[in-house]
Amino acid sequence: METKNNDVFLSVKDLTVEYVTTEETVHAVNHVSFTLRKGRTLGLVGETGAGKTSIAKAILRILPVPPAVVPSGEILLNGRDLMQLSEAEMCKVRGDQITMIFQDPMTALNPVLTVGKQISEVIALHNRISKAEARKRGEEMLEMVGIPAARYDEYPGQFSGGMKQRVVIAIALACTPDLLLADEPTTALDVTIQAQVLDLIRELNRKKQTSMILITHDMGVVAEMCDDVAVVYAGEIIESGSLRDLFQNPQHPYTLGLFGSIPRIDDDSDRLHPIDGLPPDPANLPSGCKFSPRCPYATQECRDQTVDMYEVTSGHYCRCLRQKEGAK
Amino acid sequence: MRRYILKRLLLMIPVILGVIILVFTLMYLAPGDAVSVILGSGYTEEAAASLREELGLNDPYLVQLGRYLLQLVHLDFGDSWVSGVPVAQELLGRAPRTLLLGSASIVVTAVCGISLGIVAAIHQNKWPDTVSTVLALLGTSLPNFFFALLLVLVFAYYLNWLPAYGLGGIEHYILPIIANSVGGIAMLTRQTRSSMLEVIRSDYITMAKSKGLSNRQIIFQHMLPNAMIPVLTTIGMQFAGVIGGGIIIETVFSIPGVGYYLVTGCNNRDYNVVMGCTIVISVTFSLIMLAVDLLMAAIDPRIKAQFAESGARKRRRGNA
Repeated sequence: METKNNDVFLSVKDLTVEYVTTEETVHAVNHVSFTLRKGRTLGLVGETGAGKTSIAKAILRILPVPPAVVPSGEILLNGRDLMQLSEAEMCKVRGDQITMIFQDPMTALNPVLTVGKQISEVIALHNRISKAEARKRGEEMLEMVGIPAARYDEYPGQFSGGMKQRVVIAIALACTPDLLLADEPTTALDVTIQAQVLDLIRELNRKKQTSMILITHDMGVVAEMCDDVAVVYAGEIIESGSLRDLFQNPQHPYTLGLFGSIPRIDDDSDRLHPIDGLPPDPANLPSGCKFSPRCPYATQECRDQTVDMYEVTSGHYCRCLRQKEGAK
Repeated sequence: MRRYILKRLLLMIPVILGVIILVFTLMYLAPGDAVSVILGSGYTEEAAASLREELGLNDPYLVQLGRYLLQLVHLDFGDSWVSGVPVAQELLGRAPRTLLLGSASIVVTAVCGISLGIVAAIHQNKWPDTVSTVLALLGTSLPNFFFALLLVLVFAYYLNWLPAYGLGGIEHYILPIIANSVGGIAMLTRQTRSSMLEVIRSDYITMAKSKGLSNRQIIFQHMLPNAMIPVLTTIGMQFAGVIGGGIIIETVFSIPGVGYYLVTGCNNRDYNVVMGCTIVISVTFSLIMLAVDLLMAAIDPRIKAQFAESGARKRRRGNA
C-alpha cells in the first residue's frame, strides 16, 4: 500500500477520539489509520457505538467540544494536514472539499429554514456568485435528487423522510466535494427508497469522481457500494482490505461472526447466529485484544498482549494473534 | 393567515367579556358603599337614599351588569366617584406614560435577556455562564419594588445623578425602566440559555457546521430562529408582567400612569376607576398575547402550516 502513495488522496494516521467527562473517559476511536484513493469508496463497517461516526466527524472536525478531545491523529487530505488548519481555514474545507451526509434525515435539517435556503446557503458560501445564481443552482440540485424545483420554498416539515434525506444529499453534493462522508445514508429509509438513494449516490460518485467513506452496518450496502472495507470494533480497525478480500476471505473472528450473523434465505436452521456477548463498554475497554472477551478462539495471550495489524495477503490487514499464528 | 388573525380576534371577545363580568361581580360583592365615598362623611340618610336611587344601586345585580356593559359599548367607564372626572378621559391621558414605561422596559428586557442568555449558552459552564447565572438568581429573587428603592437610594440620593420620582424629561424614566426590567431580564436570560443549549446540540447545528458556516453565522442564522420560539412566549408574558409590575413601579416613582391610577382607585374604593383600569390592562394583555402568537407563526413554519392546512381543508370541504 505504501508504494502506491502517490494516488493516496486521504490518509488518516493514528486517529484517537475520546469523550472526557468528570466521571469517565470514553475511548471512542483508538489509533485508527487508513488510506483512501481518489474516486474510491471505503466502507466503514461495525456495530452501533463502534466509533464509526466519531471517525467521520473527526475528519470534518465537527466533534462536539467539550466533551470530545482528539489527543492524537493526522488527517492528510491531498497531503495537507487538516488537524493543523485554523478554524477559518477549516470552514473553507467543510462543505466544499469534504461534505457529510448525516444519519438521521428527520433531525438533520433546520425546521425553520426553507429547504431551498439550506441548499443554496452552502453554494453561496463557497462560490462567489449572486443570490439569484445560488438559487438557480439550488433548484438544479433539488431537481437532480428528484424533487421538483417548485418545492424550493417549502420547509422540511412539509417533506417526507425520504425526501428529507435526498435534500441532505443534495446539500452534501451541492459543491461537488472531493470527499463525501456518508454516515448511514440509508438506515433511516425504507427499502425502496434505500435503493433509489444508493443509486443516486453511486451515479453522482461516478460522474464527479468523488471519493467516499460509507459508514454502515449493512453488509448488503457494503457489497453493493464499496471498493475497500474496514471493519471497526470498539474504536479500532480490526480488519481491512478490498471488498473481495473481506467478503471471500474474512480472517478476523469478529468479521467471520458478522457474516455468520446474517440470516440466509436458503438456510434451514430455526435460530439466528449472533455473536455471543456485547461490545465492550468504551469507557472501560478490556486489555489486549478488544474482541477477546467474545472470541471463541481467545487465549490468555490475547487478553494480555496488545495486538498489531498484520498483513495477511497484499493489502489485506488483520488484527488477530490467532490468525497470525495460523498463517505461520 | 388573515383568517387566523380574524379567528383570534373573535376569540378575544368571550375572554374580555369574561374579564368584565368577573371584575364587575367582584366589585359588586366587595364591601364598601359608593355613597359614602361620594358624599364623604356627615351626610343625611335621605341624601344617601336618593343618591343610591340615582346611581341605580338598588337595582338587581343583572340589571346593573347589563347597564355597565351597555356603557362600555360606548367606551364609557363611568365617572370617578372621588373626582367626578370620567374614567375614560383619565385613562386616555395616563395610558401613554404606562405604555412608554412598559414598552421601553420590554425592549430593555428583551435585548439584555436574550444577549446574556446567548453568551451564557455559548460559554456553557465557563465564567460568563456563572456570572449570568448569579445575576439571574439575584434578579429573580429581589422583588422589583425593593430593587427600585435601592436604585433610588444609590442613583438619586447618594450619587444624585437621576431624579427619584415624578414626571419630566427622559431622565425621569431611566430608573423606573431599569427597576421594571430586572426581574424580566433574569427570567429571560435563563429561558434563552436553556433553549439555546437545546438547539446547540441538535443535529442540524452539526450539519450547519459541516457546511463550513462560521460560528457567528450558525448562531444568528441557524440557532436563534429556533431558540427564539419559546423565548418569544416568555417575552409576551413578560410584557404583560411589566405592565402589571408597572403598577408597583409607577407607585414607587410617583408616575401618574394607569397603574398608579389603579392603586389610588383601590385606596379610595373608587370602583369605577378600579374596573376601568383592570379592563384596560386585561385587553392590552390579550392584544399582546395575540401579537406574540402571530409573531411565532411568522417565525415557525410548523405553526403556520397548521392553520394554513386547516384553512385549506375548510375550503376543500366547501367546494365538495
